[in-house]
Amino acid sequence: MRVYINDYNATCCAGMNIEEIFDAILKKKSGVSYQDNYIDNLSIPLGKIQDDTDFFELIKQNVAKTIKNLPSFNPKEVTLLVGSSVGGMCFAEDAYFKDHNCENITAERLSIRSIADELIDTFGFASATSFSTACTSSSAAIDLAYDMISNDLVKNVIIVGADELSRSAVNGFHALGIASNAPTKPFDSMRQGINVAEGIAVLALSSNKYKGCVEILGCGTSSDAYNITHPHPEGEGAIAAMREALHNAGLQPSDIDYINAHGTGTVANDETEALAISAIFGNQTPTSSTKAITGHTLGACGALEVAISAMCIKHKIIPPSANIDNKLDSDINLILNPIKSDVRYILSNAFGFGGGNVSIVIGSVDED
Amino acid sequence: MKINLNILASEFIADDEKFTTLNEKEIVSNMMIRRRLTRNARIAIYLAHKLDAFDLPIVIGNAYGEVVETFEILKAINEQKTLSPTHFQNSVHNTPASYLSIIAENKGYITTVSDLYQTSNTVLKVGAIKSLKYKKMLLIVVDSIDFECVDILNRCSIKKKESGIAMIVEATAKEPTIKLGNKSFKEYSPSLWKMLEIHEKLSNKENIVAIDII
Repeated sequence: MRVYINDYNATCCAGMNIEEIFDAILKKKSGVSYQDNYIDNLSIPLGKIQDDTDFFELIKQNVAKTIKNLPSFNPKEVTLLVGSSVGGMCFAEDAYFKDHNCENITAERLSIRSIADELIDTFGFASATSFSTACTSSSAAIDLAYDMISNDLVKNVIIVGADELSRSAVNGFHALGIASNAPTKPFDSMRQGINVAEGIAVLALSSNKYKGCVEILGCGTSSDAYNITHPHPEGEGAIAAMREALHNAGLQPSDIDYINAHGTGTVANDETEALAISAIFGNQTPTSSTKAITGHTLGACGALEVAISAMCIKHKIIPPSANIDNKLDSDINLILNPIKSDVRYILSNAFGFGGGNVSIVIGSVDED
Repeated sequence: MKINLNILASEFIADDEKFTTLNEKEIVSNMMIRRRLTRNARIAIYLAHKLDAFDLPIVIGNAYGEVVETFEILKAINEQKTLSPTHFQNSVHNTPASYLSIIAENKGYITTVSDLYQTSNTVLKVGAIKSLKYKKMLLIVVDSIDFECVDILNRCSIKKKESGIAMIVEATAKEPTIKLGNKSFKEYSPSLWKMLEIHEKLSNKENIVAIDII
């Protein structure tokens, strides 16, 4: 069976819906802003959603909007796959910092599963599975959904990638020395690190295709087996994931019109990802990172960037990297301004803590 | 929709408190890595070693994540103390998977799922789907909750505060030989129950279970 993305939505600091986010990316208008209530005595640029609505409510709104756009939807026939690295952590933080103990923390609310449980209660999905593989969480969900649908095990899957800004994550990345004190500059020679961000992305996948859909053509996964926080210096794992995704899609590197890089803005990621991309694609394939605009939405970034990539196909445009003063010295063809182009095939990367790598190839679908 | 899984091997360990040893010195030669292993990672590595399955594609599940490290981070922020980078890097749910891949130099498919009390159901489901592609899979569920706040979080009165179960499985077209119910194992984390039920029903003959995909 073929696997189509029939609808998608997202919310992040750059916009409340995918249209706003994509517009912000094309205009290089970052949603990242300085926040002073995550790290004591320090104002730091973070991707905070500019809306006071409860985060879990925003997840439900994104799912509701996606479902509403589908010609038919029976939740009892839909599998929910969630990808998140923090789950209900913010609930635990609120309780712990208020009470200074664990008294009002429950496993149910703290867990990654809390997102799926809330969505099952609201929408009545047939079943749910929750992935938590750090920054590849929602990509891992897409990879499984691809297997489920292409093997004809299920017809319909809703993917939810969601991570809320937590003090634990912000302080943790700061302690590791990879949270930038300035707006992030992926693939810039002077990049200092990531801007931690929150985000939600919802994808409706099906073996049935609807008007305006794009197709998932192949996924590739690998492990670096190298280091808990650092990628393999020659990008071995990234190369393996990209090669597998291309192989499964039945495409050659020269077929890819645009690469949406993981491009986090850390010294290590961007250098090794650039090495890995140029090892496979040479120096021609247009490449950019959209994280200067959205921030790094952690477990949500895989699904968010597949949604952004689908918008590139829909609008026939290649999005730019932003905040670039001096390009990283590498062979990749880094795009600095939007380019109108008949984009047919896109490869989107997500790499994570612990050396997990997922690459996903999507393609345009001819209208019948 | 169901996929039938042939259970080729299985290991299970549990203790009321922290295991005194999990053969770390024998299994993990790199001292620096060995010292940094989380409790969940130690249990997962022990089980993978016991089954001699370091090179297989792996699905790991845990219900609560790395609670020891998570609460060390909360405590540090609450007390305005310096946060340990090691605690943070070890706090993500896929920490056991990452250490397993590093120690075993396993560069293949390794993923982590976390569905609270249904975690072993999910591990079996994802393992069954992925076994269509990779043939043999290693499935692991680990849950270590022996930490400061355990009595407050442990509202289901789990007696065994460290536990883990692992199975080598492969998809098969053969008919199921094991019928699963919904058995409870009150002393253990509910996240292990489904795989515990399979483990308990294993015999010397072929052990095949039907796994629900929806």
